[in-house]
Amino acid sequence: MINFCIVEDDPEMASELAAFIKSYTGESGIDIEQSAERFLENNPQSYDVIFMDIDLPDLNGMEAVRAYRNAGGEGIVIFVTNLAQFAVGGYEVGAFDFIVKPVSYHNFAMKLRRALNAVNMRSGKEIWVATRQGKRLIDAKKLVYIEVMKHQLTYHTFTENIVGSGTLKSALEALEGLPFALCNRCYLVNLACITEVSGNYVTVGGDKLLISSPKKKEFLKRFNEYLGAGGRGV
Amino acid sequence: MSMLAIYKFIFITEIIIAEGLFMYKLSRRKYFAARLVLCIAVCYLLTALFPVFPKAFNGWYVSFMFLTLFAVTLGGAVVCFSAPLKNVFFCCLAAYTAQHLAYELFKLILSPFDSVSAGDMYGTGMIELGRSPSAMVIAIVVGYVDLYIAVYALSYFFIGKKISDNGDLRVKNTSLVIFSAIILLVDIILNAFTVYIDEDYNFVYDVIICVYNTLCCVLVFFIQNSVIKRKGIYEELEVVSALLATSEKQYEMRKEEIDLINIKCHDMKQRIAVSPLDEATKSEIAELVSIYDANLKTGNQVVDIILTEKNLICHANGVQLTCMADCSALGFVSEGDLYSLFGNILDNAVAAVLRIGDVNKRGISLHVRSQSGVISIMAENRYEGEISLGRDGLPRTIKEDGRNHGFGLKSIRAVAEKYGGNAVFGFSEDIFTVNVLLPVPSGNPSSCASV
Repeated sequence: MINFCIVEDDPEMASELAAFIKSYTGESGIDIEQSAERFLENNPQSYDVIFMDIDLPDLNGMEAVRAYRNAGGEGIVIFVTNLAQFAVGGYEVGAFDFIVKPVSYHNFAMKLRRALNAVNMRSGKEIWVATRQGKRLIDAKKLVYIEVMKHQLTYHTFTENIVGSGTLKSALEALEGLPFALCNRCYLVNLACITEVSGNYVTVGGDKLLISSPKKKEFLKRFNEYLGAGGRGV
Repeated sequence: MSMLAIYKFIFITEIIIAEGLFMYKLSRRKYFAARLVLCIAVCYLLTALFPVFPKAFNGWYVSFMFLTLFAVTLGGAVVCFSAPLKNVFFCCLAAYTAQHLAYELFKLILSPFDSVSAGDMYGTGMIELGRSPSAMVIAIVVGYVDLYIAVYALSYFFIGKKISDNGDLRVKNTSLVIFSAIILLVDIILNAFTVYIDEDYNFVYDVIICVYNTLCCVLVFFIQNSVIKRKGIYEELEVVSALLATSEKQYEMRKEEIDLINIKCHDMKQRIAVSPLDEATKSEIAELVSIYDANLKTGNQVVDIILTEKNLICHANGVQLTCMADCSALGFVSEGDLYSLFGNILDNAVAAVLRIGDVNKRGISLHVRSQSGVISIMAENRYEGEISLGRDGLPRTIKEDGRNHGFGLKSIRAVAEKYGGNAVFGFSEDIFTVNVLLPVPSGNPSSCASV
């Protein structure tokens, strides 16, 4: 289930957007807030996708999203605006996309599709890891990269390194559908954790790993697709 | 009479057939039929006149004879076809290669049979056999003809077919053509010599030579094939670089135009502000003027200009273009390349959405962001119709315009790869996506932006 919120002072516009979401996703429990303040007050952290009008009374949409981000909000924000120039500054507040009013269903659906895809990519998945102390569950979102050495896998998370058994093949199977790619034979990198790609090195979770020439093309291709689909880096 | 006196006629016939096979697509001269008949007549006449001394010939002489006859057909081809000399030469060379390959193969197949060596074509063996016709002779003749047909057919599919239908064969790599001619020449002369070492005929030795000669012919074919293939690649490169060059010019023109219009728009705004019109009209005019004074400020002047230009086209066609673009880190890409890259991405998207009947579906999103040391460019739009993945990994639509088709995407990929990045194209349901990734060169501060 995906939580949507529409922040819009024009009730007609808001119900039109809600109808579009419903007809695309089948989801009917869509929250509508008429002002940015109300949105910020009512537990905004619970939303996956937020449609934010920029031109709101009192606190404008841009400022509202800035405040939301400062409070740790991580949802996907799509601005709805009749002022296209604001959208260019959208990246500053980590906006995902923007839609210009009047909104046509088909254009809206195209953007919603990409947003839902990104929600999907961000959704956590826990994977089972076989360690010497027994099986453990690791949140794939916190997994930065996996080091492969013969039949030993080292799971590098943000907080600890967990040594488990398994092969590259078994790791790839466990991470099916998640944004992980090989930067060389030994490292399976979480694309969401990449902080820098520079020359033949990728920096991930503070570690600088070599991108080998046989894997480079495929690795950059995967990263390209990941970013294009709306995946984010740290 | 020696077999050679007959064989020279067989030879010239084989060569003429092979040349016909490779050259019928080339552009012809006026009065082609008359020229052709005349040339063939001359070829046969000269063949008939070419003296064959029963005992005085050796490897040099025989080589000389075959090469002279070949040169005569080459001359005839030049008389008949208006294609560039290099192309005619290339086709004749391929023809001779096919003929020689068939000959070598025949020799190779016959070598286990002691009684008849194909080398005897030059000598008298066949004649003697011919005097006493037997099943053997018939089998040899039938086999000979079949083998030639097979080799010719194969070489036609391998080379002949690739000579473009329009006959606009452009042989670029002269050195490779000359190299293949030299190999063939050496092969022919060496073969002629081996035929004359009758004294100590050695079966193993004969087979080895034959295998070598056959391989040489195959090698020559491969070289010729690669010359044609390369030609295709060169043509593609030419088109892509021509497109890039045009982009640069276009960009300069657009830049001037848009600068000029922006100045005018700016003036107009000032005048509206002080004019005695009512406020409603003023704001309406101001809004109209503002489509040019583009709201699109991406942090890169080149991209701004392209977006302004394409936005106008979109506007006029009811296409909704939304851009979320931070191009401030794109300063390391040259103006021409940027113009070509964004121009092609948007042209491709605009062309696709304009083919959609329902105006409401005509939307294009463009995203450019810089993150983790790379720049990610993503454009998506709906499309109608079939898209299939071509052999080069690029999707192609079923469009009417044949010739320039697909070059837009090729050019996008070429620019991405030029900067060490890549381009990935996707299509699912009815949405087409272009993803371009460009690594920002290290030492390039992301703030060093537009001009």
